Amino acid sequence: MSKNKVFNIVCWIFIIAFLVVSVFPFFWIFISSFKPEAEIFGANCYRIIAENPTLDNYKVVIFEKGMIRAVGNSFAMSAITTIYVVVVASMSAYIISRFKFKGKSILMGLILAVAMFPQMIVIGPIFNMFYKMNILNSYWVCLAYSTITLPSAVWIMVAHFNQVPLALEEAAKIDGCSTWMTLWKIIFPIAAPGVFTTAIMSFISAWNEYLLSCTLNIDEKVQTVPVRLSYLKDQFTVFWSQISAATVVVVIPTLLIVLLFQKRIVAGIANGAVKE
Amino acid sequence: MVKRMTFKQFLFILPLLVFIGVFSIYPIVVSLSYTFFDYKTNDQQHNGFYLSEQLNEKLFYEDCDYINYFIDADKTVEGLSDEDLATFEDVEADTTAIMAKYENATGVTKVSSDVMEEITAYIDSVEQRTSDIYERNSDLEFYNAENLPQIIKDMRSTIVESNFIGAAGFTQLLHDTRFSKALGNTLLFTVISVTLELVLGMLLALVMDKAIRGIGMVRTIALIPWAIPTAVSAMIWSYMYDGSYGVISKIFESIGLISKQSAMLLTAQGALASIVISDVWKTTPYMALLLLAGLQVVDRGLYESASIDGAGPVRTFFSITLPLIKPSILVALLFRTLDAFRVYDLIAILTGGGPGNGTESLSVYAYKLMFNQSNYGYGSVVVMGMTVCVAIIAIIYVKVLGADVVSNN
Amino acid sequence: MKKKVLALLLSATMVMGVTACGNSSSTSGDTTAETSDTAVTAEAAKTDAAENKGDGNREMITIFRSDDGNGAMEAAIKGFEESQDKYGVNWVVATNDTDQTKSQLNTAFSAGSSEYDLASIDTVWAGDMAAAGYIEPLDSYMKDAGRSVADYNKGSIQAGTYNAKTYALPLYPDFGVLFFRSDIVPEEDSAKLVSGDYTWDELLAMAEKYKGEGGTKTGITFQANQYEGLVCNANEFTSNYTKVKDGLEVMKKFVDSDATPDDILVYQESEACNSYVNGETVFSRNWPYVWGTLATEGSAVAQDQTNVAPLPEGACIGGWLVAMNAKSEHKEGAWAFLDYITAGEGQKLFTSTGGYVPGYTAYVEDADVLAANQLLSKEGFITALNNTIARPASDNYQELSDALQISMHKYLSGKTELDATVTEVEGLLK
Repeated sequence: MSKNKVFNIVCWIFIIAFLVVSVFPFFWIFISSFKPEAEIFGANCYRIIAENPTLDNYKVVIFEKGMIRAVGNSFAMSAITTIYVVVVASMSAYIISRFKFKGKSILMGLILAVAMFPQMIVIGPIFNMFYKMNILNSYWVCLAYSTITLPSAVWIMVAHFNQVPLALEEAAKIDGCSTWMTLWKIIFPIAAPGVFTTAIMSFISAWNEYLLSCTLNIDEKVQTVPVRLSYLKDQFTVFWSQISAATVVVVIPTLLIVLLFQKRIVAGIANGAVKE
Repeated sequence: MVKRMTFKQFLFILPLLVFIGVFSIYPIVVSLSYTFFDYKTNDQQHNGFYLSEQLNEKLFYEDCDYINYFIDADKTVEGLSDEDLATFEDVEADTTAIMAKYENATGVTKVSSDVMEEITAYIDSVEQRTSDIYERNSDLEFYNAENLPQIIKDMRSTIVESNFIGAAGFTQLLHDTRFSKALGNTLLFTVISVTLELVLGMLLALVMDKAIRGIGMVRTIALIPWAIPTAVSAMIWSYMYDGSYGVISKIFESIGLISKQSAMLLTAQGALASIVISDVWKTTPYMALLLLAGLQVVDRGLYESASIDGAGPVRTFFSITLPLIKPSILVALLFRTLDAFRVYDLIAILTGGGPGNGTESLSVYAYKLMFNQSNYGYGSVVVMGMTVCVAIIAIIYVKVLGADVVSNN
Repeated sequence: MKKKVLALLLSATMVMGVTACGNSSSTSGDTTAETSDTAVTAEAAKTDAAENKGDGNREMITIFRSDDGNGAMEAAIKGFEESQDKYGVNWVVATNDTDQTKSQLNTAFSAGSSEYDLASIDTVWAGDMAAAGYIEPLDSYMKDAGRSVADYNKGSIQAGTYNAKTYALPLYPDFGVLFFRSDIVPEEDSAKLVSGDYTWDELLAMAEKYKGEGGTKTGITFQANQYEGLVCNANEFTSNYTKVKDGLEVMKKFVDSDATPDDILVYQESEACNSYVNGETVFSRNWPYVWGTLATEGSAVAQDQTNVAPLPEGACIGGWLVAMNAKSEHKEGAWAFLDYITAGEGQKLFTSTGGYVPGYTAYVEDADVLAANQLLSKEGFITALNNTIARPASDNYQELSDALQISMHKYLSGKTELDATVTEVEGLLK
């Protein structure tokens, strides 16, 4: 028993160390966001509480630099991407995991190969495509995000679907469920942890995406957070306190949403288990 | 129960094929075709894919216009002999005659060899006649004695030769020391950071898998580093590593990790360490989340029976957990390695590849070639070289860890 | 039956998937369609020129330029729209990340896009863009408008010229100057500095001498990170790369000296600016913008504690030009605005509102411009302005610059020997 206790304590020390390390840079950003630009550098640079704390950075970021609209765009684009990626990836992952067909390993290899190319190489041709179709500066950019999200989504989903026992589907099959119903009613709920992981990862990849977004969407109305943040400097100077404030504005709603989302998902998993 | 796929099921993977085809494979193939050409967008002779000799008619017309414009000005120079004036006028007349043929030209076109000869002969004769005049009258102050030869040089560039180079780009790559240096840097970075991330991520996932109160909160907080876009977090780290005002460099200095606060980004080792720290900070949670998803599917009963058998946590991990989550580990490692190998933002922002190119990664090199130097041809070659390296790594992973991801158990 | 249900469901999800994007993109599609109108209104709000835009019959000229946040661009646009009623200006605000802006422009140009009629470009991009055929030669427009290249800042015009054709005109030139603490450096040395009649070695001696006075921690700061700024600084040390060996040797002396910060090799403009503004250094090489920073709240050093001197071997030229897209569909209007903002009344409005140095020489002595930019009344600054040097010319400047940066940074960080570096640098410059 005491061995177990020691183990638990070690766990907690690890968790706390991890949290401190994870949170520290964000903490530093948080306190910097209340500092006037002059206190970022110079004698006061290590102060925790600014000598002259200010909310100006938030004012500038929110009211002058259009950060709220960027957050909205980022959320919308990441959500759209997540939804279609999860749907497309689970449909194909189900088939790949459950059915035999020629060229399956070739398909998986191809998907993997796509993930091996650095993103910069697709930018020019995609720009030309969007330019010709006249859909630059729009939410269509979400479709292009498939190049960074789909490959890993499919692979992760396949790995998870493979772990779901076949017996359940056999029963469903006997009950007369179609492939379609089996996927959504049986596999999807059981593989929920994997689906959730895929969803979060697609969301964050889209959320972090910079190169495509800044090449295809130059109009301020459709700019995302990472692109908008690059407006918080001038030719020679980076406005650290504004960047800090903007980062806080960006991170806090993200965390709240993930927190809410996570609770529901965890609840969903529990429900699925009971039904089973 | 593993069945053959029918058309009905094919419809299920159709959307995937469409997406991958349109937004990944098509652009990649387009970029691949660049590798066989000396394709540079900052040079009109190489700003396209030319298999045969062609004429840039639009530029030729424009240059003719400039010749007349410059000669018009130089005709007015006092002291010019009648004979030279007549030559100038001849050149103008020739120019007007030849340019009339290209009045509505729009770009680069294939022309017959007769036309090509005519153009070359015209350029030679203009060069000959004008340089004679400028030489003969070196005491006169012409407006365009220096400009005209430059226009003629520009005019020669209107004859576009084939820029198809076949595999020459790849031969160049084999002898490119900058590429091999960047490859070394990239490998070093990848190995160190992925190893650290795997170990830390695994520990974290194991801990998060325990049903402890408040672990949901921990999981959410773990997402913080990830929710900050890389472009921004890299900037924030560079601020924290700053040699004078950086809080991290200050802390490292005071606990004796580095001799001077300023050493952080100055030495190749320090710079590499800085990049690795930032990367581990940002992506360990990603690793942990991937592994955690695998852990959650493991049957709890197995742990219980192991503990009844008296197995300690370490033994349980190696004999039960590890084999069961091998597919998850493979996927996590694979995609983390691919990501790490393509590292760009972090290095571009933290060190720009310095000091003395000591931290330049392959992506940074390729990016500089393509977007700074507009050398898309060779840039694509570097990308291909890079992809081959990644592919080798991926194959090794799949071979070593087993390919059971693809096939169902 | 089952088949039908499946097909139905499948198509339903696909439609769902598509409409999920379709919905939002159709809204954004509308936005794109409206862009020109809304941009006008947005711009109108920004420029307070709403009454002018009301008619909606103006031909819109689109310009791509970053926002310096000082109202200069707004003033010029407003002035232009009030001066005539044929054209309006739609300003697409670029990021201030110059590398990013450059690749955005290159991507758009290489796709043959006519979206931007005009673009504000960095001095070192003009050659590449001209060679690529992306931008329009301006000589015939200039001839018709009666403008001569002699009327503009020489260094900037050179930067915008490729193969004897003028492709871009200066918006404003920028150049390297030496800021120093006039409250620390005594009169005699100060006069010497302002005259420009001194050597780099003498400057280093002064930096070592005055370091520590007036609360300073270091003597001199400049830019020595591995980036474009290193090429500029080395340009000034090596006297336009004519004295490569001596120049680099002195530069290394600076780097190794106690009078420069330990991490000078990662210094860019902002580090150098901070060190000066926070009162940590006596001397600092930077671009003129530092002067404005000294006037902001929180600056530890005031403008009246500061003087400006030319650098001993010339000032590296930088700044911004304006170029016309070769594919523009509004060339006449584009030229009208280009000329207005580089030479017309707009140049005056732009430079006096933003406190820039005019690229159109006639305005350097204009009363409004002088009032807006105190530096123009400083002897040392004017000397520097008259002694600008361009960065090395090359058919592929970026490639050259990149190679120079690596070679020189290796030497400065002690990884290679002087002789080898000099051979390499001189080889590159050939």
